[in-house]
Amino acid sequence: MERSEFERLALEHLDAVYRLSLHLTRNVERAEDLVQDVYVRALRPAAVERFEDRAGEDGTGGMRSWLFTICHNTFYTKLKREGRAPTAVGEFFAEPADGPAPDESPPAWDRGAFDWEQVDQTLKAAIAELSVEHREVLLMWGVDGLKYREIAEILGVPIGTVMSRLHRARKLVADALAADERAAETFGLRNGGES
Amino acid sequence: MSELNPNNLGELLRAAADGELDAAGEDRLREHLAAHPEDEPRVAFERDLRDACGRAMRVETPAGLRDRVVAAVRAEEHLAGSLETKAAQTRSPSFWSGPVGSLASVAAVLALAFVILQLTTGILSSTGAPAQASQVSSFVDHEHHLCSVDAAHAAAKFGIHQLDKVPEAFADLTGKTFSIEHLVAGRTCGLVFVGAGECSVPPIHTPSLHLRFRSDGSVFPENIAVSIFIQPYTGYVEMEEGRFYRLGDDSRQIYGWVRGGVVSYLVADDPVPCELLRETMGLPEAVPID
Repeated sequence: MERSEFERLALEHLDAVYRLSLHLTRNVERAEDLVQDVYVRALRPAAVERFEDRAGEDGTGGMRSWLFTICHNTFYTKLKREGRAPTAVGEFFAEPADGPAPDESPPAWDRGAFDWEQVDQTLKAAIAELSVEHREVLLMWGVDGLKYREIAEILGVPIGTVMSRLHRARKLVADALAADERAAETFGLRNGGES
Repeated sequence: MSELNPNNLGELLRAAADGELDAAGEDRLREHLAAHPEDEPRVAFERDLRDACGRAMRVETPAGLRDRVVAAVRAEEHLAGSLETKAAQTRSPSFWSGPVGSLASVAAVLALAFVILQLTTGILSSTGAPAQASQVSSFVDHEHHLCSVDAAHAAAKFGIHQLDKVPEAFADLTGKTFSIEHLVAGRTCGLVFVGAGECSVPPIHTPSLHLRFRSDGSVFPENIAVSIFIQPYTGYVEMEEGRFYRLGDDSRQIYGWVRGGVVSYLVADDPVPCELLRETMGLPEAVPID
């Protein structure tokens, strides 16, 4: 494939790469720097060659996942180099990361009375409280619609870890919604979810 | 999906909502929902939660980001291209038979003789400082000039546009404190801050910042470029605090000094701003690095 065409296709995922960068760094300037690093690395001839070898002739499938992998690795490498731990690592990481997700069913809320459009602010606040690892998985699942296996490949972790992190992230977000008195009153939210 | 725990109902319902069930999982789900229709809304809830998370996590991409990324990619290509051109030149036999190649050959022989002399007699300094100073001065000189001739490279590099943001950026990058007091005073020398950004001054793995200034024409001619590279002092090029060192030859304005555990390298198109900055900082006359 022509280099200019490859670059054009890679840049089609700029929004997704920026979104991931922003949710990782939580800082606009750092996110922009990270996006720049990702594309400079991704568009080096050797990197393009490696991607094309993996994707096969004319194949560009999986480009977004490939860019996400570079983004994830660049972020953590930089973090390690700077000697800083990820922000707000949750207490959940005290347990084995690839342990099975607890057998908890989704809560039985009164869906009919639940105005999802109105709870975005509560959700945003709850998501902002998540650890970077939970937020990263939630983003790839919720916004980018990636499959568990794709997320596992990007993060370089077992699929069980993805399922476990995703479950934790969903539960924390759902609990935050349930704990929001205004949401509970306004939207008829009641948690009857003992299962 | 085969990773599902057959005894984990929550996992089954979530995987159903996520479209992750294989045929066996679908069968299990159908059987379960036939026996427990009250669980249908739970699957639907997970789908709604996913959509809502998706909406809540969307962000607007900054307008100029695409241009910035493309400029950075071009600058990287340009740099790689110029390095490759130089490498290709030195690989060519005609390079070594030409005047530049002949000089390079002589320089290589002299360098080899220098190393042998150093190893066999031990009469010269064993620190290797001149070689390291030469490596650093070549690097900062090249970066300084590249930013003058390649606007895209400069635009991509200088992401910090306010001088008072430099200490914070330097602290983030290195954990070290850097005072801009003398640089602020440098404004009275007719220097205007252009921008700053990360750089890779040797030694590798020691982060550094490149600060760029230009003259405003009030003290010396307009648009003379001045670069200051700052990095935590590691002793790579040995310097004493309170001294001002000349790293370049007479044709290149390259200086270095150490202050508060931070080494600074100054490169300018003209000797006048170097002198003015030295005086502003209260440093003595420049001495050659040894």
